[in-house]
Amino acid sequence: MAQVEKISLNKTFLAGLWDENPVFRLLLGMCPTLAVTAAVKPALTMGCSVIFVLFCSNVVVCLMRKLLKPHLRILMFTLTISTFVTICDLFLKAFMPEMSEALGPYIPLIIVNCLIICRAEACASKNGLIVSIVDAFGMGLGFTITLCALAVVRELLATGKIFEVQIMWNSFVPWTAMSMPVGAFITLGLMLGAVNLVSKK
Amino acid sequence: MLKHITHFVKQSWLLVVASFAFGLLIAFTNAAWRPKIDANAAAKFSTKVSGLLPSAKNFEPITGKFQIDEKLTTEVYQARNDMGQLVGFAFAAQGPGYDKIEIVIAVNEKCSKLMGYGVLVCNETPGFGDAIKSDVSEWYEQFIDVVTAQPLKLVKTGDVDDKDPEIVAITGATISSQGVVDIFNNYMPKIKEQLLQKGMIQE
Repeated sequence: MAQVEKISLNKTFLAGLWDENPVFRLLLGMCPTLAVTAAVKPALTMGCSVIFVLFCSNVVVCLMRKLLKPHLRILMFTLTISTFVTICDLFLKAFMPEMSEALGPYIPLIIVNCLIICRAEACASKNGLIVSIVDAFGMGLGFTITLCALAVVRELLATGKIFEVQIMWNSFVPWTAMSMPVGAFITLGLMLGAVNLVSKK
Repeated sequence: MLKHITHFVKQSWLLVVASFAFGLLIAFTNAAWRPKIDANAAAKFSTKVSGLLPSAKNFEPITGKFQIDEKLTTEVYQARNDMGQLVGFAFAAQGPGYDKIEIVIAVNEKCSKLMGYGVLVCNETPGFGDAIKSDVSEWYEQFIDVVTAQPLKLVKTGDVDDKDPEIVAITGATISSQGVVDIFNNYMPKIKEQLLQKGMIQE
């Protein structure tokens, strides 16, 4: 029984990284994926914010799952998620004001990120605490890694740098379009195609 | 009647308790971190003002808040150089765009000319309205050295190089552009009037 449960936890965690990757497989959270991946730092900050909100909301939803009324569950999920997004927003304003300014309206928009309410509905409201926590970390990490992967490509081609460190050769001519929405769509589309190719879909 | 009340309580007690608990959590978090957030805002204001009036070394608040309307007040700072000479005034101003826009405005020592503005708070549409944040654009350059005697007027087309009260709007961001112009028009006459009353400037 313990072996079956352990495998299940591993499978739950790994699902968020590949089989059920929020961006490449579930196509959730497209708005921040396109908007904040012009550079790695805001992408990483957004990813960590989503992990925090996912973890807290999954824990709270899991703990109150047996008390939830079916017709009020979405309202309760939204209430829970918005509380932790507000806390996250206050944290960034207090301790990372430059990132708060860079991310602008996209932190409050985490409230309507379908990934978080989806995990609350699909996992946290139906499973125990450990599974919910593992699912939150798996999905959050998958989302963060995806955002960072996109951001690395875009920032490298748009500026030749990552985290202000020159990576590309000196004579490299930056592709300014990669920092614009057109670059976001093209990069995401190509990465989606690559993932489908690898998965042989 | 009692049956209805009991049914209502059974259905909604979790929602009410959760709302109360989450509200308390946010209130405590806000109380704990508000001093740090306010300190960051003050530091940002200082940095912006120093950039707008580079010759200023000291910024002293003028005694008494300046009344803008029934609800709005602002604090005006007099900027002085290292010889103690007045080089300008600076104050925070706010108004609606798509969302709230908060800027810091700097004027010269006679309050006759704009020295520029810096954005403190802006949640305008990324890629469109948030262009008001840029201080190296044709839009921003229109505000430098403009006389404060006349109200600013937003136009859709025109010459951006002319230093006149006609401000050419950012393409695709009329509401945000109008928001900034309205802030100037709302604050400048009242700030000027009260500076005259306090004897800080001459007519």
